[in-house]
Amino acid sequence: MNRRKFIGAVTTPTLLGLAGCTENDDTQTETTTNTETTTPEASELRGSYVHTHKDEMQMIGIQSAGRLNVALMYAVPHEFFLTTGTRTQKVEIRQRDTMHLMVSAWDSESKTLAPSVEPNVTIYKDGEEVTNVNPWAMLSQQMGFHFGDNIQISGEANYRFEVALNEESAALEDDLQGVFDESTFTFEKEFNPFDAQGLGQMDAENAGDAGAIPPMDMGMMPVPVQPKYSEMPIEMTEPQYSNDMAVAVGALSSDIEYSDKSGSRLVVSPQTRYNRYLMPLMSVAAVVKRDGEIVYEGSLKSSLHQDLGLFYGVNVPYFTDGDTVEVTIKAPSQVARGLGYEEAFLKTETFKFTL
Amino acid sequence: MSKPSLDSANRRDFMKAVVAVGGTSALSACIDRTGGTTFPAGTTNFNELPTRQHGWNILDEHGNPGNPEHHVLRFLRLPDDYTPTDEDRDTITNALQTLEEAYEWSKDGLIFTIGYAPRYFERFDSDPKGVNLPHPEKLAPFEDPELETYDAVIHFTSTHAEAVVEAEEAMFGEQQTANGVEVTAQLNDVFNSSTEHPMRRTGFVGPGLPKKFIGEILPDIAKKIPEKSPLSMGFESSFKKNQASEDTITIQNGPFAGGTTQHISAMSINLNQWWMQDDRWQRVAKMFSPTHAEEKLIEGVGENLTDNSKMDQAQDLEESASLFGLVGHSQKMIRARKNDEPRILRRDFDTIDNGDAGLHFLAHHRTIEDFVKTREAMNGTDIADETAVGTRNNNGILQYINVSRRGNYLLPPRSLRALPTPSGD
Repeated sequence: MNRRKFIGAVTTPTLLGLAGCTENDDTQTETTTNTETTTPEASELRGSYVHTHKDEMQMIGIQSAGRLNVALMYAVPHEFFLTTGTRTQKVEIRQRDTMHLMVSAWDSESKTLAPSVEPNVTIYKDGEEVTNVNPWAMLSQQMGFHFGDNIQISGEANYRFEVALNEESAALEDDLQGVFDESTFTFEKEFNPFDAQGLGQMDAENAGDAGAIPPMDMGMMPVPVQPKYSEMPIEMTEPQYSNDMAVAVGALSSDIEYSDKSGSRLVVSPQTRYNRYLMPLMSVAAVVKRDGEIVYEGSLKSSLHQDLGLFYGVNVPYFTDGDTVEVTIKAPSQVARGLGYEEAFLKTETFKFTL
Repeated sequence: MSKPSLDSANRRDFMKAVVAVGGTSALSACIDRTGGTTFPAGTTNFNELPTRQHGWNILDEHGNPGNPEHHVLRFLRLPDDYTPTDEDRDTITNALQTLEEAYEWSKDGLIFTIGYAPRYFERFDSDPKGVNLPHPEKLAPFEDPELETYDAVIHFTSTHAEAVVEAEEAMFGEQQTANGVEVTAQLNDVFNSSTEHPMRRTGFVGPGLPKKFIGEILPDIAKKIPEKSPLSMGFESSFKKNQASEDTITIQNGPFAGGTTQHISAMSINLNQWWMQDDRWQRVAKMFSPTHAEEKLIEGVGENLTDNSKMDQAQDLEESASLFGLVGHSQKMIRARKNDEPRILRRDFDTIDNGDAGLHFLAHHRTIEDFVKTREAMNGTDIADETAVGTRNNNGILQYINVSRRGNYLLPPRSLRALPTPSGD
């Protein structure tokens, strides 16, 4: 594999990390289990493929504070991939892992998921603190976006989970102001974490095919999908696709509520191709041109809107027909990925739209 | 989770247990085992000792600041209605001079500092003169630490665990001699303290120690920690170029000139994620910068490094964030400089207090503001706003740590270390 020399300041996106996949791990004693490290060439990326099986999930509880709802759940320990740049790294299940713990937060009214609340979970076993974990921002085919990690709590006991959420850091459009404030929720469950091992797994049909396991029906939790482009309350361009991520653009006009009413609000809306999940933790930039002249150039900020879900936005001068918008994904979504997604949504790419 | 045991056959394990368990029984067990090692002797020429309690001058051949291996912190309280008396000042001075007589002021002898908190100075009508000493605050939007309200803190450190425990016992326990010198006054004649966490905290730093002691609580994870690593996250971290000098951190003016301020925080470290989930490339990228990972600038724990961690070769911070979706811890810290020098001198050490892997982050700085500014740089909240970098996700090492306690202290110069008044007289 060619090792591409790292380039500093770039104006076009660069696939980085094409160094060889061999690990020069400095440990002397540990024989590392076979860690998969993928920094594939863009053309080699497989895209989204159907994961091999579906997991049963157990709810610990759902709690609310105003419109903010938080769910705490678990499943069997999961393999997943950590993302750094365009490089993914497989996390194996450890022998000591007893469960995959998951947190989700959403607005009860609009069902909008909060992608940046980055919770901290402190776990007490019979009153004594046993662990403290910041679960990873994660995207899985069944669950969509949530925060999750494999943990090692064990033994039949009374467990108390303190879930502290940060204030949502995405820009919040009017209706969502104040919904996702900093807050802490406490859940309790008397159980043996090994119960997680008893949760069911079902083989998926068409495992390995292009596609994805459909979103799981999670009962009292809303299905965490973005609105369809055709159903958004603003006109969106036809979507373009790259590496199984769809991107469409539109503009918030004065008819729709938006927070800073000086011109148009450029809406760049990415979603996963098959399940329409949100795509957080991306570096997105845009160039707006009118008659060949640059009218705006800059980076976009992640934003949440009750009818649009998560998008990347910035205020620009009012659009006119014929304006072109060049959207560049400078860094793909840094979200950790469940199996089936490890070669999807990794391309850095420029899309050109005409309004 | 096994607690350190005094029965351990291995000397290193045993010494750590001595520090972790503490107390006279630990010390007797220690003396039984080692035959009562004597340490380099101290001096009664007290005025020859440095003015600066923080004047340790432990530097390696590159000028990198060092930290002795074993540490104990004892947090101290005074009764609510207490006002300092000269008699009590004398007691404290005698007690601490006993230590100075007993042990050489060096890492092979004993080093100790005593600091006073805002709570202590509230007993007077005014604030300490020439020093801004605020109560601790939460320093990041995503943390919720206990903001501590002790009166004072004493820090003992030495290469020798036995010296640390013996000194601690001499000041607070039943120990009647310190390195052969008779103990005539004790700190617990004046202060209240406890051998229970969180009033007693212990720790270690130095090659071999994290691997050994994390191994007591997290054996699978400890296998991944390199033998050479001085800290549990696997890298050297104290360099001449990324640490403030002892001169820089010294208060220059006012009655407390020659002193310094101190911030002590406690944090847990998620070594499971760091060692068992991230790989080498990611660890190097998140601790230093993506360039460091790509270009393999760090060998092992940093044994190829001299007096700096090659941050001049790191990419620009904003570029890292927007192109790599990741920024390194050290990359963010470059912004925390003043006059092109770091603002703080870190003397942190790992811990397994309460059976949890963590760090006692102890730092010295001329002002508390210096610490706050440094922590702000570490948060990188501005970077998270407009790039793929999250509040914690791929944001240096924030993903792995959770700060549970914070406290601010003033370390007076040696002459004022016994119950100082705000004006220093």
